[in-house]
Amino acid sequence: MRIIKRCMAIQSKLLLLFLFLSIKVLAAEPSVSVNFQTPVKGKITSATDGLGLPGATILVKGTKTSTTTDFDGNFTIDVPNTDAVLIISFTGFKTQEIALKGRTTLNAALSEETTALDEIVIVGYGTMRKKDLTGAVASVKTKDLNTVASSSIDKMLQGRVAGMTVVQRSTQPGAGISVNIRGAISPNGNNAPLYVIDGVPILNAASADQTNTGTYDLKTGIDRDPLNSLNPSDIESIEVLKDASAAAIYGASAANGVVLITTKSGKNGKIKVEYRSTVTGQMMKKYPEVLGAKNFREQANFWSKEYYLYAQKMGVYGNNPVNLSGYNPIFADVNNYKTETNWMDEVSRDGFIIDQNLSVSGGTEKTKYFLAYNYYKNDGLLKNSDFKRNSIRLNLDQEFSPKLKGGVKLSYAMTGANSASFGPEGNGDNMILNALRYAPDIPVLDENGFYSKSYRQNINNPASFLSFTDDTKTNRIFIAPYIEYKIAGGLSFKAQGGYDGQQSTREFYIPVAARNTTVTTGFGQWGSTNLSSGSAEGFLNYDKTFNGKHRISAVLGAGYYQNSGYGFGLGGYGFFTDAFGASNVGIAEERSRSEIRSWRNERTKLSQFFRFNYGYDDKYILTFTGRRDGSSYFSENNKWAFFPSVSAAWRISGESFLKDSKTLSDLKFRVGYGTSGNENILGANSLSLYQSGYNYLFGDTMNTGLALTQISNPDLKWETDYTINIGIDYGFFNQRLTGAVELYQRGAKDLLDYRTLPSNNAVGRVAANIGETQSRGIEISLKSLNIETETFTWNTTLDFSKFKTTWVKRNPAVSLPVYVGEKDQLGTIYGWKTNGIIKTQADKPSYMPNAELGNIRYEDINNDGVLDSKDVVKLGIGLPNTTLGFGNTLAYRNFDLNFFFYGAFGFKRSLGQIPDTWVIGNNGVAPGNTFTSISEVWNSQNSNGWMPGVAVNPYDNSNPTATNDFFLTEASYIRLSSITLGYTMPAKLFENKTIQGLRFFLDAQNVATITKYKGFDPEFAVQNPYPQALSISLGVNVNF
Amino acid sequence: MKKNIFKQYGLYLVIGCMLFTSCEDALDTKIYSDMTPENFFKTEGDIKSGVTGLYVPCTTNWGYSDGGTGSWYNALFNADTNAYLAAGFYSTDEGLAYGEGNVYENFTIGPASGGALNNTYNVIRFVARCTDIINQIAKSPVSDAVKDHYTAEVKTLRAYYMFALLDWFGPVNVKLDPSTLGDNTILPRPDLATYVGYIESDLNDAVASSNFPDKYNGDNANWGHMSKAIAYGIQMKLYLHQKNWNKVKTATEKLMTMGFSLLPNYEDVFNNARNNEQIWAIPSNTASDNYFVTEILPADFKKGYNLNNTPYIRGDEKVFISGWQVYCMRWDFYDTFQNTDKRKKSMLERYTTQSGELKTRTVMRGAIPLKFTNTQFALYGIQKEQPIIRYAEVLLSYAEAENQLNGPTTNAVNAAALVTERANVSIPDAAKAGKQAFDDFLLAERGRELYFEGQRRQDLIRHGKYISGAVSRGKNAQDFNVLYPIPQYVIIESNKIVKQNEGYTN
Repeated sequence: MRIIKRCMAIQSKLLLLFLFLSIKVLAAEPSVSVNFQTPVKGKITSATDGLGLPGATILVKGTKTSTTTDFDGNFTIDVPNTDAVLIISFTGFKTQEIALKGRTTLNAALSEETTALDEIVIVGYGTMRKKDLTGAVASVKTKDLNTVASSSIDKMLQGRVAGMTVVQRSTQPGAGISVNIRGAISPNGNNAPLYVIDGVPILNAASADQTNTGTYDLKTGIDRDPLNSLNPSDIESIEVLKDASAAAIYGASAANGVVLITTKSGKNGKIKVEYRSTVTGQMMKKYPEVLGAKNFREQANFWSKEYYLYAQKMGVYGNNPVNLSGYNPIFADVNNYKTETNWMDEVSRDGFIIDQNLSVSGGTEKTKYFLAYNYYKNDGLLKNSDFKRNSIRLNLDQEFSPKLKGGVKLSYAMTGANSASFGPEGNGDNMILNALRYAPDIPVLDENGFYSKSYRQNINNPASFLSFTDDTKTNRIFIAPYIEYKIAGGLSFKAQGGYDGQQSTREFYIPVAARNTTVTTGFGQWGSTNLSSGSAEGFLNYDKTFNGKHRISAVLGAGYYQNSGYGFGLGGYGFFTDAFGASNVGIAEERSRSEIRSWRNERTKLSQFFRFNYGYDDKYILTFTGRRDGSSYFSENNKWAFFPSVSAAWRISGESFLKDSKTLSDLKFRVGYGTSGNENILGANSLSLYQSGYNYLFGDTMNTGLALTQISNPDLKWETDYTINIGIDYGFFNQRLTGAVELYQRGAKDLLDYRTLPSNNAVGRVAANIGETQSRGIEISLKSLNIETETFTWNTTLDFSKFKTTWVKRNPAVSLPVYVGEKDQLGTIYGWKTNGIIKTQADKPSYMPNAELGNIRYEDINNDGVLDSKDVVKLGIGLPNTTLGFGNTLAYRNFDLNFFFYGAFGFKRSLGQIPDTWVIGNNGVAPGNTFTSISEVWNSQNSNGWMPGVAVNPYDNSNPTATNDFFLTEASYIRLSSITLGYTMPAKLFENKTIQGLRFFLDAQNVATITKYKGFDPEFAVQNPYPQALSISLGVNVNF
Repeated sequence: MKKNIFKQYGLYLVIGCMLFTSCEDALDTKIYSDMTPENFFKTEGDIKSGVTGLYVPCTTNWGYSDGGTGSWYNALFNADTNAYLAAGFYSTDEGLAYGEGNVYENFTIGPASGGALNNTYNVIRFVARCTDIINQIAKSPVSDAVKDHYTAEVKTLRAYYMFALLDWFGPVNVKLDPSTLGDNTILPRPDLATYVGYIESDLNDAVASSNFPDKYNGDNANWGHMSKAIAYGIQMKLYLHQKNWNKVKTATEKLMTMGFSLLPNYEDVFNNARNNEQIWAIPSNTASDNYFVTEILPADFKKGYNLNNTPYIRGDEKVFISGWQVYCMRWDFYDTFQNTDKRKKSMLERYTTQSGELKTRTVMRGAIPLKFTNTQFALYGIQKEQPIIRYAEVLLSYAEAENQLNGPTTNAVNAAALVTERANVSIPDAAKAGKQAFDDFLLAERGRELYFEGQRRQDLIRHGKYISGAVSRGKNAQDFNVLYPIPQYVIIESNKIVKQNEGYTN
């Protein structure tokens, strides 16, 4: 009670103001007068299919008299006289005004809304007409996306929103995806946007299945996209709030933009059943090749001899004469191998995706429902690697009275993912890594039927990974109820609740039979993670036009949010049987190695927010937005934050001189400034902590130890982002060509950085707000209806963005190396420049006197005769800064064809898949396999090789960045990411039949890539990537 | 009426939300699984777990992730090439790496080499953590006896960390004043005398403590903790490093009165836990493996035979577990052992491969310095404690100091003879002829007795033979290579206030 009292005092002023406002508005409700009436009857139909439109609104112009159509589209309304004008409106259709001119029967066909101008766009806490927008908002309809053969909406958005960069982290089924909007400018923070599903902010940062694998590094295989639990087909539209003036209403969570996802709702009208089934086959694209058995043996002998010469300083490697009497070849007989195994073949297969969607939707004027079920399963290109989803959704909307409505969005998804342990990084023990290295002259099973062992023991049998269990199951439930009450005169109140709960378990087992060399006695692990986020929000919406010219729409509200998580796990080593897998970890015998752990966290946020939008004559529009956030994540001295924004727009096409222009049908100029926060960086960073996990063995007992790992900073703050945005919306030729151009400068101030404490301190860093970065960019989007005839239409979409992210202010407490510029671009690659390899003594530069033949030749940039940090230069940027999405849809009679290109430009990547002379030649008796490109490595017999040879370069130890440009190449690419060909059966076939529509389609994904990059794929530049697939899908859509 | 109810409720809801929004108590940061200084260091148990955390760099297991930097580090006594202990093997005459190009072996190390260089340097943070814990102990409400005990323990450990840094990098800017722990100013490196003074002072405080136990050889629960004997042992190492022979003698003489003795059988020293010869050994079990044997066994290893044809099998005959074939003993060094030397039984000079072939020194790059002979286990690691300071080293160090001070006296020769007699070898008369001859003999004997225990680099440097030996093996070693470079990041972050060791680039 005491708390409430205190809070009352603090809040009383605000409350008074609020009450005053409400009373004023309530008092303004006008009274309705009664006159003599004439009844008018009629039917409202859809111009598209001629069916009646139930729930359409008929309003007598200039009065408050209105009615809605019944189930078949019929209506009756009383008009004061037969000269009245009726306004007929229906969501999604063009509003018509029809003068009765004496008639008492009126039939009207409404055509579907097509112009972008009157389009309703979802913004935070409400909707706005597109023409009232003053900020940078991109809107995507799911029907325009290709929802075939991918499990998550993120992936589908690649190239669809100008300014949104979507990078897949792997091609494994359901793999994680990195998304950022307008450049990742927080060097230490999270750069992912906030996702809001049906008005409820969700937890997206943490994937629920991060159970670690303890001492065995297989964590990478489970990097998956948390949005996998959302069926893309359930989504109606996606709005991306790109600049701070649009996003500021989400305050401290909005620094990286906001992605608003709206799921489908029922529409009133007849019951609509839609079934879509897609079957996809995935074929592996060309994978980097490794040596076959004989070649492997020859190369092992060859390279071990090369290493021998090098070790003995013989021939080209020194002054000693070549004498091979002490050299023993690894394979006495290169032909004497019993078998030849292609390990990639052993662990891979053709992939398969099945995607089944069934939805039932419909409703009456008062009740609307959307019910959908989805089954999705992807068997990946690697065996023991799959992803599956079962999801069900029920969206209900109910009107209780003309003033009160409510509803709930419910979804439940079960996802399951198996992975035979491989991931984007792959530096742990990994099936593909082993498949590339395991000797090809050894069979899968040895003579006793056990998994064979390679020459080098710590290269595990790739096929043995297929006996692992790595099974993650996630259940996600999402409940979002709301009620909405129309108070009066354009004022309404909405209360919105949200619960998003994810429960995930990972079962992991390495059988004894796998004969894994790191885990010899079996390892079982079982872990569970629970994440939940709950929210409650209440807000007032006010929407009213005064005198036909002054339009005000406003939002004022508050919210309470709580995220919490907990998890536990247990693991054991030493299994006498594989019979139970991880189901009975208790039988593990090596007690001293058993693992138990648990964790918990919690975070609470309280917020108040408002938006005020004023438009004059649909020409001049002004918006103010603000949000005040208080968070338990924030530090002691900075518990509350306020994020304001202001923006304005001038609809030039609304001016008299352009009003009637068909050529320039829309032109709007927007400008805005706003701030938002990045809170995801804070956590417990502001506190001083002794963390557990520093255990030590005394005698035979592992003792619990804690270590000082963090020093407090009670002043720590969120990062503040600001955006200045200038935008132009344009429309030409009566809106056949529309789009927007955005210019922006986005900056992050008070960057979370670590004030580096000197190396002699216990803790190397204190979290602090230091430094500033910015990103400047341009975005161009375009939608065009190129050709439209009775039988042929051609649409084009183009989304282009280019940005540059740079440092503005650095951490003054951290000395920059000489080669780093104060205002360098983020993601700059620093290193030594190279100039080929040293093939002869004469090639050896004077500043590399100790170099050996076959070494990379570095450049002494400053000509001081020494290679050191002064010779480090900028070699390029590691991340794309220009992206392009380009799509075309052609429709001819009943055929439609769509193809979509995605491109990313302006970055460099290191060539992956570099042959390894060490693994094949420098292990003496224990060679491992490597890529066939080893023939291009320089050696004493082949002076044409272009890659560096076996000799260790003594200058590498003086390269402060350990980076050089020898293998660094331009990685820009354009990908033909999908082609879809569809055929819709002629509608007349189905007249009065149960089936209302039928469409077949054929789709190809990941068709071709154009790039200068010579490695496997510029998007997945790792040494051992998951294989790429060419996916071919066949699908059918049936409407009942 | 209905309308009014909704109006009312709607308003209440909004009001409720707004009230909620200003309740500051809801916004307290919640920490569930870590300790903050406010709730820590209240009991002896708290202190014990704080002290335990300081030992993490001393494990034989792989290493630790340091939450203070967000990076992972190999522990000092891990047998991997990225660790302090092992990196010292193959820069000397005793070992070499199977693979070519090791920076320690080839003397090509530079400030950007990373690996063992950075891993070892990170111990400097643990010096500061020790300083913090000493300060926290002083402030905690526990009894003076408890404070005294743990303070002495932490000071001994801190002294060892400072010694390890001195060994590789020379004097560095350690933090011993708790008031500077959060300080951002970079201190320059102290001079040698000052730095040695820091170590001396910590060790003197530790041995003066009346609550600090002498040793834990009989106490399984506490084995591995610092003790007075270890403090004397570190004194011995420090003064050997400084060639302060008087003080070496004092420290070793003290240790010779503490009840330690040589075991009759050399192999037992490494096979038996907490034996009477161990002054400081790193405990190991399946929760904290020792990977030494795995690092040295060849990749095709099935069964080994030492000189006397005693078989050595690793793992189950059916399920072979071989090794990672990382480093071996140079044959030149192996040949300094006499054939009668019993210590040779703990090395392999031939072995059977998994395909049944017998390999001998004609095809082996070097001998296999097994050391731990009783390790027939199914697992990759062995569960044998790693000796860091043992009594044989005390005897040989005593002999060396005595010889330096007074020549090869009976005391000096007798102490060394205890070690050689156990090995079934004798000290040649020529070695006893004079101070230099005996000194040379002791260096060679230390090599044989303490082979692959991480001592060789220090011993060779002390005798001035480290660089010359490397040059004679054809390495491009130079005088300044007796110290390793300070890691590049340290120089950069300090804006060059921390000076690089002479001879290295930046």
